[in-house]
Amino acid sequence: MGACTTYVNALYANANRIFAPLGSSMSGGRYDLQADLSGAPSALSSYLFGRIAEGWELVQLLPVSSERDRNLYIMSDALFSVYGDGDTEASAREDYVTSLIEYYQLIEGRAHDVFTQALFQKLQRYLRRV
Amino acid sequence: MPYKPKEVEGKLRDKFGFSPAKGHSLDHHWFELQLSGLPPILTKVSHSRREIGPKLEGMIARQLRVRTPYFRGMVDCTNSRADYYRQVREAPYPPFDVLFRYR
Repeated sequence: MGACTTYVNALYANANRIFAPLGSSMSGGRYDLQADLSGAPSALSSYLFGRIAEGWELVQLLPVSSERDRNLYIMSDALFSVYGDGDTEASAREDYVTSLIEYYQLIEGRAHDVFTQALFQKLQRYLRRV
Repeated sequence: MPYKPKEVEGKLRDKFGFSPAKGHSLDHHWFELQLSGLPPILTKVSHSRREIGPKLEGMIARQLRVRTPYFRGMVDCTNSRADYYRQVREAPYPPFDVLFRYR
């Protein structure tokens, strides 16, 4: 808890733009931050970090983008090309998290060759089972 | 004209050789394609709307390792299976992290 708090405070201190906690996420060991870093007009860049679902934790800041397509919210990442969508920003994030975990499980089950193992190792640098 | 999720899934399965990804409980419709010497190509087709909007098209295209206009060509049948396989091997977008040599 202490290490995470220090890290989060460092992020606040070093941020050029405003960081804001997403929801009431600090209480459950979950550290979600949202930060406008890109200045891009159509997408908001932010990071996911910490416990994102029961039994799953992001151990490294994962950059994600949030955008809207008419009345549909979409969250995606550029590292693994995973996306989630929903009627609200929160539901898009929830769908993204589910998709990321599914992606992890799919890659894990197929990591029998050197190519997929390399991809799985990259994935494990971000996402882990708790 | 926006595509319907079933239409995209049908094209991926019947024309491009994708198969439904299996192995565990999945909330989403994932499809996979395994080409020799490459990591599996995995894509999720969203069923949250009756039609797939332009941004979701872009998301699916990215998972298929092609740009959005190319993806539209896949669904509209202007890009063949052989074209797609060659495209993924020779000019994937986004590129694979590791450089793979196909023999």
